[in-house]
Amino acid sequence: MHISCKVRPLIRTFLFITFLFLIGCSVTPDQQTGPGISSAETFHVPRRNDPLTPEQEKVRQQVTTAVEADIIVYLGNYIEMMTEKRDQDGHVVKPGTRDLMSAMRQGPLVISADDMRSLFPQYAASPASRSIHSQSVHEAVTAMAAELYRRALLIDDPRGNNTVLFTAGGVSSGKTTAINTIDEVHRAAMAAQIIYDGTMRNYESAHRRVMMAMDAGKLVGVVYVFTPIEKSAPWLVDRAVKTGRVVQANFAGRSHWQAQHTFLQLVNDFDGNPAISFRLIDKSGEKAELVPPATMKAKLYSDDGRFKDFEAFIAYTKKLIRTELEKARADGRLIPETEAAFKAEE
Amino acid sequence: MEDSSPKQKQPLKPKSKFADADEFLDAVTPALVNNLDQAEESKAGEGQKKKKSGE
Repeated sequence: MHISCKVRPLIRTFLFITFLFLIGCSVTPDQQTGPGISSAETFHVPRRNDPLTPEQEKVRQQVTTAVEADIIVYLGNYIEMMTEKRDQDGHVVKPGTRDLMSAMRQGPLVISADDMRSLFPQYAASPASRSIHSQSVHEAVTAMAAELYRRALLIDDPRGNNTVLFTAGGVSSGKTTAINTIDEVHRAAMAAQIIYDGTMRNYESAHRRVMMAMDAGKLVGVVYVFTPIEKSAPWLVDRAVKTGRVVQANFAGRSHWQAQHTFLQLVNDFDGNPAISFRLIDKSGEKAELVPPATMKAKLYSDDGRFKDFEAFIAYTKKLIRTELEKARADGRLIPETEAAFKAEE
Repeated sequence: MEDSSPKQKQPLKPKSKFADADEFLDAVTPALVNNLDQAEESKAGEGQKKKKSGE
């Protein structure tokens, strides 16, 4: 077919523009944090209707609006924060990556809603602001963690593990500290592609996340660290005093009580399935020891005869925390904002 | 009749280098068990710990 000399340049120009357009489309900001939602889709932070003060509500709205407007940037910020290396003084000695695949080449992607909080200056500015605004950023970080998890599962592990490790157990059990601060544990955790750092308090959420991982072809490990509430409460208050990060007694008690039941239910649900395994580490004695998962039954707060019901356990948790707060106040270590954040639930 | 409970659900075949989830957890758990007590001690210095988050 004859194409006139006048038309040829037009076709060449058209093909060149098309080529540039296709290249432009292939390099979207979305690539920085791996596959998942495109920038054209909207991201929604579900409302939880937690009771908030006007000051907290203002921050909640600011943070929610910011995250919904640019989830990709916030996930990139988080991945960068989690992959940068710092020296003893907290100075960045090696910058992090914003790319999900690059992060996974380096080691496990740790998904921690608690760590995500520090992306927001309204929360992270000081121990006082952390005490006040932990609740304000809760909705946003929960939604961000869920979205990052969903996106991470889409990635075939570049290190070949294709594994998801869930940490479980009530707040302040020591599990996160071990992974973050001890080299041997950190090295062992390299066997995981994704570490979902949480309590597994809520059965429905935990079950859904496990199923998502298995549907994505990942092997799943659940490691429950059982630390009795009597041991946990002093750590919880100590951390709040030092960092401003407050976990109220109601939530803390609930996490210890419910996580036990979730763990046992999951063990039962997936009994005999080689794609998932469970470990229970008992810290009730002097030394931590590995015990059979089924022995959780003997550790249930609901069945150990000390508490007539869940409310009694929460009251007991509040008493333990109050005692520790009184000690901190007597030592002059307790700032008013932290104390107020603990008392806000009463 | 098929049981559709999670116990019976057949997940997609994992593409892991580990044979199964037990092997995966065997690689992770011993270090955690051996060091949890040390973590307990380091909790005391949590406020000053080297934080990846930069808090």
